[in-house]
Amino acid sequence: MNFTESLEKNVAALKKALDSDDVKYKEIKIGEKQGCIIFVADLTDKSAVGELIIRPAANFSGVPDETTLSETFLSPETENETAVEKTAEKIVGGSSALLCDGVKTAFLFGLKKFDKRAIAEPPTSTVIKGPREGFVESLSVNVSLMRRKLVSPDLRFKYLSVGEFSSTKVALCYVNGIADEKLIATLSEKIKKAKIDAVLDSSYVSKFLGEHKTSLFKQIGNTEKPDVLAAKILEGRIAVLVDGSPIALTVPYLLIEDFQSPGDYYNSSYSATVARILRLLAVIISIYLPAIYVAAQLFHLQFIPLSFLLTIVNSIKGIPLSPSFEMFFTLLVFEILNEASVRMPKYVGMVVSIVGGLVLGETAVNAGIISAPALMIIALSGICLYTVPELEQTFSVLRLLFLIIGGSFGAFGIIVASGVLLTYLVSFENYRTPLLAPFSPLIVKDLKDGIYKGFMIEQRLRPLSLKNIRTRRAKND
Amino acid sequence: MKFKGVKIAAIIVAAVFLLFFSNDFGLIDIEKTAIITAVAIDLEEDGEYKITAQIAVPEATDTNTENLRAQIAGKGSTVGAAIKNIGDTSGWFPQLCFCNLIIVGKGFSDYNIIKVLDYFSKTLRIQDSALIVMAETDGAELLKLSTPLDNISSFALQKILLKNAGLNRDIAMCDVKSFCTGYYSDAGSAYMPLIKVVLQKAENEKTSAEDTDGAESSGSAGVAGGGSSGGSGSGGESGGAKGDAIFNANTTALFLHGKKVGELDADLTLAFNALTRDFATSTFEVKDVNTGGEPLNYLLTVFSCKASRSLTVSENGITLHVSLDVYAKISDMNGETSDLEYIKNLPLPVYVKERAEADFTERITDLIRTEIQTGCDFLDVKKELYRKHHSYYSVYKDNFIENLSYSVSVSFTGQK
Amino acid sequence: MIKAFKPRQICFFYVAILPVIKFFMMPSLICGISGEDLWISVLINCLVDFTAIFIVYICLKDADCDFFTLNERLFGKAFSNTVAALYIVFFLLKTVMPLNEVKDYVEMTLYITSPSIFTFMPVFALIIFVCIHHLRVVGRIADGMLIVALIGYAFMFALALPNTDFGALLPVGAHGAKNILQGSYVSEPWFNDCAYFLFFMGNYVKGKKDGLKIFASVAVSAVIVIFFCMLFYGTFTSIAFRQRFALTEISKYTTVINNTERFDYIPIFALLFTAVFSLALPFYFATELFVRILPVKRNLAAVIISLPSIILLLFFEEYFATVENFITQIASGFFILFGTVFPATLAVIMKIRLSKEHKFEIQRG
Repeated sequence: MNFTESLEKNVAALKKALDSDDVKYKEIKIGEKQGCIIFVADLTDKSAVGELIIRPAANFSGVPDETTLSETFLSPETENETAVEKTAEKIVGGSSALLCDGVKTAFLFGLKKFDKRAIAEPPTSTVIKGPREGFVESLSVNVSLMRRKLVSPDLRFKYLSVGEFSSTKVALCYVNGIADEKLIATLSEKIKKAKIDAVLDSSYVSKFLGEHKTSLFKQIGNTEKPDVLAAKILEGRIAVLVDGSPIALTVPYLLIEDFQSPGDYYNSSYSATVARILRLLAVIISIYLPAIYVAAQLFHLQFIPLSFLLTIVNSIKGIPLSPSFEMFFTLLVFEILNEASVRMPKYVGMVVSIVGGLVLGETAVNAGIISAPALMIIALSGICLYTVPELEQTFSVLRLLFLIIGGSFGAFGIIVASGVLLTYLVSFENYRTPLLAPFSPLIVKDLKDGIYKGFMIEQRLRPLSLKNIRTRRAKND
Repeated sequence: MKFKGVKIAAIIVAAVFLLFFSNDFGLIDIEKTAIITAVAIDLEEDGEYKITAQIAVPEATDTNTENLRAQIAGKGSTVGAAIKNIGDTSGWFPQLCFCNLIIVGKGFSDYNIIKVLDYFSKTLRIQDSALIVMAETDGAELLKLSTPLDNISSFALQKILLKNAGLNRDIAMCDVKSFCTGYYSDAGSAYMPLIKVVLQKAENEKTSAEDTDGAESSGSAGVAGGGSSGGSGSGGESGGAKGDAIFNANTTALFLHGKKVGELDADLTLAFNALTRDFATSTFEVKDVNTGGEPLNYLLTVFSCKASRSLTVSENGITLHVSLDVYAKISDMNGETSDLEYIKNLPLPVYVKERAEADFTERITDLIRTEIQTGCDFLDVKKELYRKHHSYYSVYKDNFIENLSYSVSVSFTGQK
Repeated sequence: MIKAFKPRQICFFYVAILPVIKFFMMPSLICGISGEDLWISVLINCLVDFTAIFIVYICLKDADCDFFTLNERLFGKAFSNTVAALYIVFFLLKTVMPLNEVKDYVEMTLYITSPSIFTFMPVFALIIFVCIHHLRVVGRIADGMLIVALIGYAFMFALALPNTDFGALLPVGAHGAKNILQGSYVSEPWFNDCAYFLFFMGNYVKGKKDGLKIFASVAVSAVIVIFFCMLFYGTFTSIAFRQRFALTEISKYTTVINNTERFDYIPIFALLFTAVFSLALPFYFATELFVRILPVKRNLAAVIISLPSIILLLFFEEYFATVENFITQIASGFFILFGTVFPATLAVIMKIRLSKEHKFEIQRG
């Protein structure tokens, strides 16, 4: 439905479309005609409306028409709209609309103003050295952060809207001349085609972008840090920024990404390499240790050194649970504590840690419900899991799976399960990028930033694991 | 189709969970497992084998408490049957994978010992890297002995056998695999340490009287010897009230086709090790060295030792050439240390060098004579004949001992 | 056409995955016949394999599709399907000995009390899972396994070396040509790796000096197996023929083990991990041929191909001695025929046909 020349009818049509108390209608005089400003009270910068729209309107003389009105208002972001529904959508999106009697067009002004969270260090990826700013929930702020990081006309943003009710603004961010254009087109298409009521976080979008709907493994990378995102898009990835989410998505994703901490790039290569090896070892320990412990107790006593075996036998005497059930139970308690400590208010969280870690653990061992080695193994496994926090959920599920396999089939079962996992991972591709690259398929040149962190000056090429238009990095050209 | 897949997956997951929680596949509870650390085999009068297993029994109350020991015995017409009998009579599942020591009792002296050891070589339930020794007494007695070295006697024995591995070569260590390799070789010759028990009763009584808390005081008190060729860590143990016996493993029992045919005493065992193993950092005594005045005793430390054995074979017979080049330094002497050469650790004094060379030449000569007398080819002459003089192998394979002559050359050097 | 492999992956496949399966029963089996000359028996088999691979490579290096596809193009569907069917039988027979020995190995050395259905049978989950994937997964597995296999080899060889008496391999050739050749003959089921190469030929991204790289990797693979056999015999000498599971045995005599318990399980597990993929490969290639000749889904084909082995292991275990005898004595000829003679001969014929076609095309302008 389009606007007519009758202000009354137009306002009535909008009132019908926007039947909500937070939408305000302010009648004003524009020269010889009547006008009406419509806006959502809590989304609009009212002083700007007064200064940039109402004051010029009050000073206007004569009979207003579309051309003279366009020249009258001082708002830098102005557009005209003839459809009632679209105007209504823009108003709830934060724009202020002006209707004038005798004019068939609505004037829309971008005078949004709402509270934003201040830029702060993201709690999920803190660094000792390096930039501390993180993305916030406002897309415009996030875009500005990126613009500040990469001051280049080649940094491009492509805006899309997704969500039937949320109309969430999504921005594809990439570096022109580096990112694969086909991939940009594919991503735009996928986002446009997404059928969803509302996008409340970027994770909603990631569900549409992943090619394997039921996969346990991550398919889309993410970061909360502008510096990390800048580095990633300079390697040829494409970022997806979603309004309302501080987490930016990156495509394509390699598993090794999450073993690379932002801090690695700000520290020496040696310490970064050691840290990465530690992370890898920690993940292996975390997934395999409980399973191996249970398998060794049930099936392969010969794996356990005699002195440690005697310690185990000492500690499990009188424990009513079987080794597998004991480990499962301990793991369950750990996961419950973990879940509770994340959800609980901070001031209670400390209490949970003390009660869970000290009181519950100590008491359970003393009461003979679980053994000290089992508790220690789960604790070690739990700590190791958080060396790669991004993959904590995936590895946590894997740990449980391996525990069940180890307890049911023993060490050979663990080997077979590892084989299945490896086969799955090597065959896993997302946007034709192998998840395990640069290790399988082996891309030797990319190993300089794999587990081994090469020196910055050595890294003359962008990762060949990803499809880049320009593989050579600029500074070495 | 997809739904079918989900159903199958759900059934598999349920089955695995059931397995996981029930552990219902005939598993043996860890608490019902007898962790056997050593076995002793004795020959009964009725011809059956008696296997005594030493079991590490953990203390339930406190993980820091030392582990107790227990022995369970089983009998059977074969070794396997006797081990099975242990499980049948005790209710414990005999877990042999931690068994690192097999003691053969004295009853097997005139018996083809491979009849008992072959089991340990064939079965995968035990590591054939387990050490084997022969006891001068019944094997079971050795396990029952109380010793100050460790509260589990088999651990004490292992300490002696494995002590300073690669450093002090006064024991001719042997494991199941080495013994079987020797037995099944063309020469059919093998060896193993012979364990002698040294009772320390008088000293113990004295120590007990002085020490009310003997168990804890035994620790490292009074461990002496070790450095000398005859010491072997067991020889000089004097303190401790916990046990009253220690072990000496410096003698070596020799076997031909599984039967014991002779022994090497401590001196010959040392010479044997000098010829066959890495002898560096070993020490040995050179006694009664005539320095012109009062005879002195010296302790030499070997820094490098090059031993070689080679054969010259012709129609006239086989000649075994043994040469030993030792680079040694004086570590100690029992005289005044005014001897300038000793203080500066200069080249070995001529009288020490000559005496050491003479000593070792004699020992090696005795060693070869023992080989000829016993027929036990512990110097691997037949092996050498087969490998490097294969054309003569068929000529001498049955009479190589009779046709064996030898030449020995020993040289000692000090710092140059 | 997108190629499934890179030359590097073929090299890794030969170095990392193929040698391990020869570390179980094969050395002791050969020892029983050719004694200390076992390495010569192995060397002969390796040379035969190398020659076959060399001939196939030289003849078909310019081909743009694999051996079986080319076979169909040149000789028609009926012939190619018959060949493919025979190769399915070849691959299935090739799995029998390794499957049984790894099963025995797992049951006897790793588990004491559990029945095989819980210990070994899960391997079929992996086999079927590997089989349902695209051919390129084989190359990627080779990429992934290289480091695991290298760690396993290095660790195991380092532990075994100090206790190895290489003198035990003397005198060379004392067992006579007949025994040495007999040793080679009985170990045929573990060799004839040229059959795998038929899938790689024409199906990899061509680069510089590919042939050299591939031949070098086949040679390295042979060296690894021969060296392992030498270590094995040097460790056990007169009782080597009684050691059924060489993989677990050779590394445990080092002095360090006495002090630290069995940490040699680390290389053993690394190599066992590689071995399970080695086990899956004949099934994989049999499945690949099965879906080429019959219009069935890959998932179903994988199950059908695995089924005979599952049945054999579950229900006919007591006939293993007969099966072993059949495979090592009678079927060895079949292995030589289809693993070496047939591919080499057919490759030469293909080369001649292709040359004729090429000349004909040039004449036609």
